[in-house]
Amino acid sequence: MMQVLSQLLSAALGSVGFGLIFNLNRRYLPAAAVGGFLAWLAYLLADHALSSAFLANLLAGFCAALYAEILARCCNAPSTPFFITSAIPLIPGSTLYYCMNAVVSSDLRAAEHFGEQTFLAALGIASGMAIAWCLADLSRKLHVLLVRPRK
Amino acid sequence: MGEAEVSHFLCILIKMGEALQNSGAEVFRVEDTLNRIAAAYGAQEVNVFVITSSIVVTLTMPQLPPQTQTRRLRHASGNDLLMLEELNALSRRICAAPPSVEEFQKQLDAILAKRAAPRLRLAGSVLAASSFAVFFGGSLWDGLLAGVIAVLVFWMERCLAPFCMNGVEFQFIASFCCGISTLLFCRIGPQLHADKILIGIIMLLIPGIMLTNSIRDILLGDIISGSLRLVEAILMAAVLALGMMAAIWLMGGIA
Repeated sequence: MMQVLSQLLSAALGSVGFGLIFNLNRRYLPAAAVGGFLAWLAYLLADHALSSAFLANLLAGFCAALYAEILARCCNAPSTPFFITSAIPLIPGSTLYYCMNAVVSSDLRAAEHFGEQTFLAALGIASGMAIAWCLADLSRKLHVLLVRPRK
Repeated sequence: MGEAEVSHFLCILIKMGEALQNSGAEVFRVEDTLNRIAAAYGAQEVNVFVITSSIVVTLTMPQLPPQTQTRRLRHASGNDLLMLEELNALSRRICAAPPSVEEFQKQLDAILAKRAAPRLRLAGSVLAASSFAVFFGGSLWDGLLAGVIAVLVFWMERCLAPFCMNGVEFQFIASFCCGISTLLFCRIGPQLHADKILIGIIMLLIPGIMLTNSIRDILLGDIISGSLRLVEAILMAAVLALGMMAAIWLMGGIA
Protein backbone atom coordinates (compact mmCIF):
# COMPACT_ATOMS: atom_id res chain seq x y z
CA MET A 1 0.00 0.00 0.00
CA MET A 2 2.85 2.36 0.93
CA GLN A 3 4.52 1.53 -2.36
CA VAL A 4 1.37 2.25 -4.36
CA LEU A 5 0.96 5.59 -2.63
CA SER A 6 4.56 6.64 -3.24
CA GLN A 7 4.23 5.56 -6.88
CA LEU A 8 1.08 7.61 -7.39
CA LEU A 9 2.66 10.61 -5.70
CA SER A 10 5.89 10.39 -7.70
CA ALA A 11 3.89 9.92 -10.93
CA ALA A 12 2.09 13.19 -10.19
CA LEU A 13 5.37 14.97 -9.35
CA GLY A 14 7.03 13.56 -12.47
CA SER A 15 4.22 14.92 -14.61
CA VAL A 16 4.66 18.34 -13.01
CA GLY A 17 8.41 18.07 -13.70
CA PHE A 18 7.78 17.43 -17.38
CA GLY A 19 5.22 20.23 -17.37
CA LEU A 20 8.03 22.55 -16.28
CA ILE A 21 10.47 21.14 -18.84
CA PHE A 22 7.95 21.66 -21.65
CA ASN A 23 7.05 25.14 -20.39
CA LEU A 24 3.44 24.30 -19.63
CA ASN A 25 1.27 27.24 -18.63
CA ARG A 26 1.74 27.53 -14.88
CA ARG A 27 -2.02 27.61 -14.35
CA TYR A 28 -2.20 24.05 -15.69
CA LEU A 29 0.53 22.50 -13.53
CA PRO A 30 -2.04 21.14 -11.01
CA ALA A 31 -3.94 19.64 -13.94
CA ALA A 32 -0.73 17.92 -15.06
CA ALA A 33 -0.27 16.47 -11.56
CA VAL A 34 -3.83 15.15 -11.51
CA GLY A 35 -3.35 13.76 -15.04
CA GLY A 36 -0.24 11.81 -14.11
CA PHE A 37 -1.92 10.54 -10.94
CA LEU A 38 -5.06 9.43 -12.80
CA ALA A 39 -3.15 7.77 -15.64
CA TRP A 40 -1.11 5.68 -13.22
CA LEU A 41 -4.16 4.91 -11.05
CA ALA A 42 -5.96 3.66 -14.16
CA TYR A 43 -2.95 1.54 -15.03
CA LEU A 44 -2.72 0.01 -11.54
CA LEU A 45 -6.44 -0.74 -11.34
CA ALA A 46 -6.56 -2.23 -14.83
CA ASP A 47 -3.41 -4.25 -14.22
CA HIS A 48 -4.91 -5.60 -10.98
CA ALA A 49 -8.27 -6.46 -12.56
CA LEU A 50 -7.11 -7.81 -15.93
CA SER A 51 -3.50 -8.85 -15.19
CA SER A 52 -2.44 -7.98 -18.70
CA ALA A 53 0.16 -5.25 -19.23
CA PHE A 54 -1.07 -4.56 -22.74
CA LEU A 55 -4.71 -4.03 -21.73
CA ALA A 56 -3.65 -1.99 -18.70
CA ASN A 57 -1.58 0.34 -20.91
CA LEU A 58 -4.47 0.56 -23.35
CA LEU A 59 -6.92 1.58 -20.63
CA ALA A 60 -4.47 4.01 -19.04
CA GLY A 61 -3.72 5.64 -22.41
CA PHE A 62 -7.45 5.86 -23.02
CA CYS A 63 -8.04 7.55 -19.65
CA ALA A 64 -5.17 10.01 -20.17
CA ALA A 65 -6.44 11.02 -23.62
CA LEU A 66 -10.03 11.28 -22.40
CA TYR A 67 -8.93 13.43 -19.44
CA ALA A 68 -6.97 15.69 -21.82
CA GLU A 69 -9.92 16.08 -24.21
CA ILE A 70 -12.35 16.91 -21.40
CA LEU A 71 -9.95 19.42 -19.86
CA ALA A 72 -9.24 21.00 -23.26
CA ARG A 73 -12.96 21.61 -23.77
CA CYS A 74 -13.32 23.10 -20.29
CA CYS A 75 -10.30 25.43 -20.63
CA ASN A 76 -10.74 26.24 -24.34
CA ALA A 77 -7.15 25.16 -24.95
CA PRO A 78 -5.51 22.59 -27.22
CA SER A 79 -5.57 19.06 -25.81
CA THR A 80 -1.90 18.33 -26.60
CA PRO A 81 -0.39 19.94 -23.44
CA PHE A 82 -2.72 18.01 -21.13
CA PHE A 83 -2.25 14.78 -22.95
CA ILE A 84 1.55 14.95 -23.11
CA THR A 85 1.95 15.62 -19.39
CA SER A 86 -0.63 13.02 -18.32
CA ALA A 87 0.83 10.20 -20.41
CA ILE A 88 4.39 10.72 -19.10
CA PRO A 89 4.25 8.05 -16.30
CA LEU A 90 3.10 5.45 -18.85
CA ILE A 91 6.23 5.74 -21.00
CA PRO A 92 7.94 2.31 -20.76
CA GLY A 93 11.35 3.60 -19.60
CA SER A 94 12.05 0.81 -17.13
CA THR A 95 11.40 -2.09 -19.50
CA LEU A 96 13.60 -0.41 -22.14
CA TYR A 97 16.35 -0.16 -19.54
CA TYR A 98 16.04 -3.78 -18.41
CA CYS A 99 15.97 -4.86 -22.06
CA MET A 100 19.28 -3.23 -22.87
CA ASN A 101 20.78 -4.33 -19.56
CA ALA A 102 19.92 -7.88 -20.56
CA VAL A 103 21.51 -7.33 -23.99
CA VAL A 104 24.75 -6.14 -22.36
CA SER A 105 24.87 -9.16 -20.07
CA SER A 106 24.03 -11.34 -23.13
CA ASP A 107 20.90 -12.75 -21.52
CA LEU A 108 18.97 -12.89 -24.77
CA ARG A 109 15.90 -14.55 -23.30
CA ALA A 110 15.39 -11.69 -20.82
CA ALA A 111 16.19 -9.16 -23.55
CA GLU A 112 13.44 -10.64 -25.71
CA HIS A 113 10.98 -10.58 -22.83
CA PHE A 114 11.65 -6.95 -21.89
CA GLY A 115 11.82 -5.83 -25.53
CA GLU A 116 8.39 -7.37 -26.09
CA GLN A 117 7.07 -5.64 -22.96
CA THR A 118 8.38 -2.26 -24.17
CA PHE A 119 6.82 -2.67 -27.59
CA LEU A 120 3.49 -3.90 -26.20
CA ALA A 121 3.32 -0.97 -23.77
CA ALA A 122 3.90 1.58 -26.55
CA LEU A 123 1.33 -0.12 -28.76
CA GLY A 124 -1.17 -0.31 -25.90
CA ILE A 125 -0.90 3.41 -25.07
CA ALA A 126 -1.25 4.31 -28.76
CA SER A 127 -4.35 2.15 -29.19
CA GLY A 128 -5.95 3.58 -26.06
CA MET A 129 -5.29 7.11 -27.29
CA ALA A 130 -6.71 6.29 -30.70
CA ILE A 131 -9.98 5.03 -29.21
CA ALA A 132 -10.33 8.19 -27.10
CA TRP A 133 -9.66 10.44 -30.11
CA CYS A 134 -12.27 8.61 -32.18
CA LEU A 135 -14.82 9.21 -29.41
CA ALA A 136 -13.77 12.88 -29.06
CA ASP A 137 -14.05 13.38 -32.82
CA LEU A 138 -17.46 11.69 -32.85
CA SER A 139 -18.73 13.85 -30.00
CA ARG A 140 -17.47 16.98 -31.79
CA LYS A 141 -19.36 15.99 -34.95
CA LEU A 142 -22.50 15.12 -32.99
CA HIS A 143 -22.21 18.48 -31.22
CA VAL A 144 -22.07 20.30 -34.57
CA LEU A 145 -24.95 18.21 -35.91
CA LEU A 146 -27.26 18.51 -32.89
CA VAL A 147 -26.45 21.75 -31.11
CA ARG A 148 -25.51 24.30 -33.77
CA PRO A 149 -28.71 24.29 -35.91
CA ARG A 150 -30.89 25.08 -32.89
CA LYS A 151 -29.12 28.38 -32.27
CA MET B 1 -5.03 42.61 -51.03
CA GLY B 2 -2.57 43.25 -53.86
CA GLU B 3 -0.13 40.68 -55.14
CA ALA B 4 2.77 41.96 -53.01
CA GLU B 5 0.57 41.98 -49.94
CA VAL B 6 -0.50 38.39 -50.53
CA SER B 7 3.16 37.43 -50.76
CA HIS B 8 3.84 39.14 -47.44
CA PHE B 9 0.81 37.47 -45.83
CA LEU B 10 1.93 34.08 -47.11
CA CYS B 11 5.35 34.63 -45.55
CA ILE B 12 3.79 35.33 -42.13
CA LEU B 13 1.43 32.39 -42.52
CA ILE B 14 4.37 30.06 -43.07
CA LYS B 15 6.13 31.58 -40.08
CA MET B 16 3.06 30.74 -38.01
CA GLY B 17 3.21 27.16 -39.29
CA GLU B 18 6.89 26.90 -38.43
CA ALA B 19 6.27 28.28 -34.94
CA LEU B 20 3.47 25.76 -34.36
CA GLN B 21 5.62 22.89 -35.58
CA ASN B 22 8.53 23.95 -33.38
CA SER B 23 6.36 24.23 -30.28
CA GLY B 24 5.33 20.59 -30.53
CA ALA B 25 2.03 20.65 -32.45
CA GLU B 26 0.97 17.67 -34.54
CA VAL B 27 1.06 18.00 -38.33
CA PHE B 28 -2.71 17.76 -38.34
CA ARG B 29 -2.98 20.82 -36.10
CA VAL B 30 -0.49 22.86 -38.17
CA GLU B 31 -2.32 22.17 -41.43
CA ASP B 32 -5.72 22.80 -39.87
CA THR B 33 -4.64 26.12 -38.32
CA LEU B 34 -3.06 27.45 -41.53
CA ASN B 35 -6.15 26.48 -43.52
CA ARG B 36 -8.45 28.26 -41.09
CA ILE B 37 -6.38 31.46 -40.96
CA ALA B 38 -6.08 31.67 -44.74
CA ALA B 39 -9.82 31.13 -45.07
CA ALA B 40 -10.46 33.87 -42.50
CA TYR B 41 -8.47 36.30 -44.68
CA GLY B 42 -10.71 35.44 -47.62
CA ALA B 43 -8.60 32.97 -49.56
CA GLN B 44 -10.43 31.23 -52.35
CA GLU B 45 -8.34 28.11 -52.18
CA VAL B 46 -5.62 27.02 -49.77
CA ASN B 47 -3.36 24.00 -50.14
CA VAL B 48 -1.16 23.35 -47.16
CA PHE B 49 1.28 20.48 -47.08
CA VAL B 50 3.30 19.98 -43.94
CA ILE B 51 5.84 17.31 -43.12
CA THR B 52 8.25 17.45 -40.22
CA SER B 53 11.02 18.98 -42.37
CA SER B 54 9.11 21.25 -44.77
CA ILE B 55 6.03 23.42 -45.22
CA VAL B 56 4.47 24.18 -48.62
CA VAL B 57 1.53 26.57 -48.93
CA THR B 58 -0.26 27.52 -52.14
CA LEU B 59 -2.74 30.33 -51.73
CA THR B 60 -5.30 31.63 -54.23
CA MET B 61 -6.84 35.00 -53.43
CA PRO B 62 -9.86 36.19 -55.43
CA GLN B 63 -8.89 37.80 -58.79
CA LEU B 64 -5.21 36.97 -58.28
CA PRO B 65 -2.99 34.18 -59.62
CA PRO B 66 -2.09 31.47 -57.09
CA GLN B 67 1.11 31.96 -55.08
CA THR B 68 3.30 29.30 -53.51
CA GLN B 69 5.93 29.54 -50.81
CA THR B 70 8.04 26.84 -49.23
CA ARG B 71 10.02 26.69 -46.06
CA ARG B 72 12.53 24.07 -45.08
CA LEU B 73 12.41 23.25 -41.36
CA ARG B 74 15.80 22.34 -40.02
CA HIS B 75 15.35 22.57 -36.27
CA ALA B 76 14.17 19.45 -34.56
CA SER B 77 10.72 20.15 -33.20
CA GLY B 78 11.03 21.18 -29.58
CA ASN B 79 8.31 21.39 -27.00
CA ASP B 80 7.00 24.69 -25.72
CA LEU B 81 3.47 24.04 -24.59
CA LEU B 82 2.84 27.62 -23.47
CA MET B 83 3.77 28.87 -26.93
CA LEU B 84 1.55 26.23 -28.50
CA GLU B 85 -1.34 27.40 -26.36
CA GLU B 86 -0.75 31.06 -27.23
CA LEU B 87 -0.46 30.33 -30.94
CA ASN B 88 -3.70 28.39 -30.72
CA ALA B 89 -5.38 31.34 -28.97
CA LEU B 90 -3.98 33.73 -31.61
CA SER B 91 -5.40 31.57 -34.38
CA ARG B 92 -8.80 31.53 -32.67
CA ARG B 93 -8.74 35.33 -32.34
CA ILE B 94 -7.76 35.76 -35.99
CA CYS B 95 -10.46 33.43 -37.23
CA ALA B 96 -13.09 35.26 -35.17
CA ALA B 97 -12.09 38.70 -36.47
CA PRO B 98 -9.09 38.90 -38.86
CA PRO B 99 -6.87 41.92 -37.99
CA SER B 100 -4.62 43.67 -40.55
CA VAL B 101 -1.65 41.65 -41.78
CA GLU B 102 0.75 43.97 -39.90
CA GLU B 103 -1.18 43.38 -36.68
CA PHE B 104 -1.05 39.61 -37.25
CA GLN B 105 2.71 39.82 -37.73
CA LYS B 106 3.15 41.97 -34.63
CA GLN B 107 1.16 39.57 -32.44
CA LEU B 108 3.00 36.54 -33.84
CA ASP B 109 6.40 38.15 -33.23
CA ALA B 110 5.35 39.03 -29.67
CA ILE B 111 4.59 35.35 -28.98
CA LEU B 112 7.84 34.18 -30.61
CA ALA B 113 9.91 36.66 -28.61
CA LYS B 114 8.94 35.04 -25.31
CA ARG B 115 11.40 32.46 -24.08
CA ALA B 116 10.94 29.95 -21.32
CA ALA B 117 12.95 30.65 -18.16
CA PRO B 118 15.90 28.20 -18.01
CA ARG B 119 15.58 28.01 -14.22
CA LEU B 120 12.13 26.44 -14.49
CA ARG B 121 13.42 23.95 -17.04
CA LEU B 122 16.25 22.99 -14.72
CA ALA B 123 13.84 22.60 -11.80
CA GLY B 124 11.59 20.47 -14.02
CA SER B 125 14.45 18.20 -15.11
CA VAL B 126 15.53 17.62 -11.51
CA LEU B 127 11.98 17.04 -10.32
CA ALA B 128 11.15 14.66 -13.18
CA ALA B 129 14.34 12.56 -12.88
CA SER B 130 14.05 12.28 -9.08
CA SER B 131 10.35 11.42 -9.21
CA PHE B 132 10.80 8.69 -11.78
CA ALA B 133 13.77 7.16 -9.95
CA VAL B 134 11.46 6.82 -6.91
CA PHE B 135 8.49 5.88 -9.11
CA PHE B 136 10.27 2.80 -10.47
CA GLY B 137 11.18 1.59 -6.99
CA GLY B 138 14.27 3.55 -5.98
CA SER B 139 14.91 4.93 -2.50
CA LEU B 140 14.93 8.64 -1.67
CA TRP B 141 18.75 8.64 -1.99
CA ASP B 142 18.40 7.25 -5.53
CA GLY B 143 15.98 10.06 -6.30
CA LEU B 144 18.44 12.61 -4.96
CA LEU B 145 21.31 11.34 -7.11
CA ALA B 146 19.03 11.17 -10.18
CA GLY B 147 18.34 14.85 -9.54
CA VAL B 148 22.08 15.58 -9.51
CA ILE B 149 22.57 13.73 -12.80
CA ALA B 150 19.60 15.67 -14.22
CA VAL B 151 21.55 18.87 -13.57
CA LEU B 152 24.36 17.34 -15.65
CA VAL B 153 21.88 16.56 -18.46
CA PHE B 154 20.59 20.12 -18.34
CA TRP B 155 24.10 21.53 -18.49
CA MET B 156 24.98 19.29 -21.44
CA GLU B 157 21.82 20.35 -23.28
CA ARG B 158 22.82 23.99 -22.94
CA CYS B 159 26.59 23.85 -23.38
CA LEU B 160 27.39 20.66 -25.26
CA ALA B 161 24.50 20.39 -27.75
CA PRO B 162 25.66 23.36 -29.90
CA PHE B 163 28.98 21.58 -30.50
CA CYS B 164 27.34 18.34 -31.61
CA MET B 165 26.77 17.53 -35.27
CA ASN B 166 23.16 16.53 -34.68
CA GLY B 167 20.67 15.28 -32.11
CA VAL B 168 21.77 11.67 -32.50
CA GLU B 169 25.37 12.43 -31.60
CA PHE B 170 24.27 14.52 -28.62
CA GLN B 171 21.94 11.76 -27.41
CA PHE B 172 24.78 9.24 -27.51
CA ILE B 173 27.23 11.47 -25.64
CA ALA B 174 24.64 12.54 -23.08
CA SER B 175 23.46 9.03 -22.26
CA PHE B 176 27.07 7.77 -22.17
CA CYS B 177 28.15 10.53 -19.74
CA CYS B 178 25.08 9.94 -17.56
CA GLY B 179 25.75 6.22 -17.47
CA ILE B 180 29.43 6.66 -16.53
CA SER B 181 28.78 9.28 -13.84
CA THR B 182 25.90 7.33 -12.29
CA LEU B 183 27.95 4.14 -12.12
CA LEU B 184 30.90 6.06 -10.62
CA PHE B 185 28.62 7.51 -7.92
CA CYS B 186 27.30 4.03 -7.20
CA ARG B 187 30.86 2.74 -6.66
CA ILE B 188 31.24 5.36 -3.93
CA GLY B 189 27.86 4.78 -2.30
CA PRO B 190 27.04 1.06 -2.40
CA GLN B 191 23.54 1.52 -0.96
CA LEU B 192 22.48 3.28 -4.19
CA HIS B 193 20.58 1.37 -6.88
CA ALA B 194 22.20 2.21 -10.22
CA ASP B 195 19.35 0.72 -12.25
CA LYS B 196 16.67 2.91 -10.67
CA ILE B 197 18.75 6.06 -11.09
CA LEU B 198 19.48 5.27 -14.74
CA ILE B 199 15.77 4.64 -15.39
CA GLY B 200 14.98 8.07 -13.97
CA ILE B 201 17.51 9.61 -16.35
CA ILE B 202 16.21 7.54 -19.28
CA MET B 203 12.77 9.02 -18.73
CA LEU B 204 14.35 12.45 -19.31
CA LEU B 205 16.19 11.49 -22.49
CA ILE B 206 13.73 9.06 -24.08
CA PRO B 207 11.80 10.61 -27.00
CA GLY B 208 8.44 9.62 -25.53
CA ILE B 209 6.62 12.71 -26.77
CA MET B 210 8.01 12.30 -30.24
CA LEU B 211 6.83 8.70 -30.24
CA THR B 212 3.28 9.53 -29.12
CA ASN B 213 3.08 12.45 -31.57
CA SER B 214 4.27 10.26 -34.42
CA ILE B 215 1.68 7.59 -33.64
CA ARG B 216 -0.93 10.33 -33.36
CA ASP B 217 0.10 11.67 -36.78
CA ILE B 218 -0.12 8.22 -38.35
CA LEU B 219 -3.51 7.45 -36.81
CA LEU B 220 -4.85 10.82 -38.00
CA GLY B 221 -3.78 10.06 -41.56
CA ASP B 222 -0.50 11.98 -41.87
CA ILE B 223 1.44 8.85 -42.63
CA ILE B 224 4.53 10.48 -44.20
CA SER B 225 5.22 12.87 -41.30
CA GLY B 226 4.30 10.22 -38.77
CA SER B 227 6.72 7.75 -40.28
CA LEU B 228 9.50 10.35 -40.40
CA ARG B 229 9.03 11.14 -36.73
CA LEU B 230 8.61 7.48 -35.80
CA VAL B 231 11.92 6.57 -37.44
CA GLU B 232 13.58 9.51 -35.66
CA ALA B 233 12.10 8.46 -32.31
CA ILE B 234 13.21 4.85 -32.71
CA LEU B 235 16.68 6.01 -33.75
CA MET B 236 16.92 8.27 -30.69
CA ALA B 237 15.78 5.47 -28.37
CA ALA B 238 18.28 3.06 -29.95
CA VAL B 239 21.12 5.57 -29.59
CA LEU B 240 20.11 6.21 -25.98
CA ALA B 241 20.26 2.48 -25.32
CA LEU B 242 23.64 2.24 -27.10
CA GLY B 243 25.14 5.08 -25.04
CA MET B 244 24.01 3.52 -21.77
CA MET B 245 25.12 0.08 -22.87
CA ALA B 246 28.57 1.43 -23.71
CA ALA B 247 28.80 3.01 -20.26
CA ILE B 248 27.64 -0.14 -18.46
CA TRP B 249 29.99 -2.33 -20.51
CA LEU B 250 32.96 -0.03 -19.87
CA MET B 251 32.30 0.00 -16.14
CA GLY B 252 32.04 -3.78 -16.07
CA GLY B 253 28.31 -4.10 -15.40
CA ILE B 254 26.05 -2.78 -12.68
CA ALA B 255 27.88 -2.92 -9.37
